Amino acid sequence: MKTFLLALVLVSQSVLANDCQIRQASKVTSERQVGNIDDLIKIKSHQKCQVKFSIVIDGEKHNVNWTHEDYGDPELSCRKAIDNGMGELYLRLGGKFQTESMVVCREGQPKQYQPVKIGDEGLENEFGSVEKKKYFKFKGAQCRYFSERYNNGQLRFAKGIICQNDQLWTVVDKW
Amino acid sequence: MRFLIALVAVLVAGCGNSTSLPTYEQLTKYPLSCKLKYEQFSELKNIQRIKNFAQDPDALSPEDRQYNALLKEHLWWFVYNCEQ
Repeated sequence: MKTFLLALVLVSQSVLANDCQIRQASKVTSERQVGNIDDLIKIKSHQKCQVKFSIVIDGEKHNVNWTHEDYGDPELSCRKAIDNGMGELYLRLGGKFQTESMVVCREGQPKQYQPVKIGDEGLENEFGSVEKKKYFKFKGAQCRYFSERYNNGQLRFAKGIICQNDQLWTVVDKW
Repeated sequence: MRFLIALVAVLVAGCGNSTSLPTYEQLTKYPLSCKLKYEQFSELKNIQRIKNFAQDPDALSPEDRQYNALLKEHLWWFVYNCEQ
């Protein structure tokens, strides 16, 4: 018998939150004496695979019956069925868990940059600066020029004016 | 008679928009001056009103975008350069 360090991803889920995906993965890590998979039966059908097998863990025989449905190769579904069946077995037997969370933002389809419009608000440093760095007064508010480069199918360079409105700056003109 | 009515209609329509608009080239040579800021600002604002460009510069043709940009640069020039 060998001693294995079992590290199996049991749960993995993706939750879409705004532009971010929250990925969670739970691992079972424990030191157990795990035997080989015996009496493996694979029942393949359209896009899914059912596996039945037995395995001895810590001297005790366990029977596993698991089905995995996927849109890929049926053989791959069988491997996933074995992995998931083993994972479920480890869960039943108990062990040490480790859970990891990872937040991945702006993954997947990149969002197209939306050029600023007159009336948009933001922090001052969110607006590009121009060579004219001097602030000036307009209708009692502190203002400055800003510049913007973007690609909306064509490379664009735009300039405009932002004016301070409390903590935020408002786009008052753009060209 | 019909010809006369049509002629009068054309003349009336023409008079309603009698300001001669500068070309882009002419606008680049516009003699901006703080001393004449009220007159010049008013004149440029009038051109802007007649042109009636869309607010979104991306909605304009390249020529209109260029003209609109220069016009706005000129208008803001007074705010930026001329002390109240």
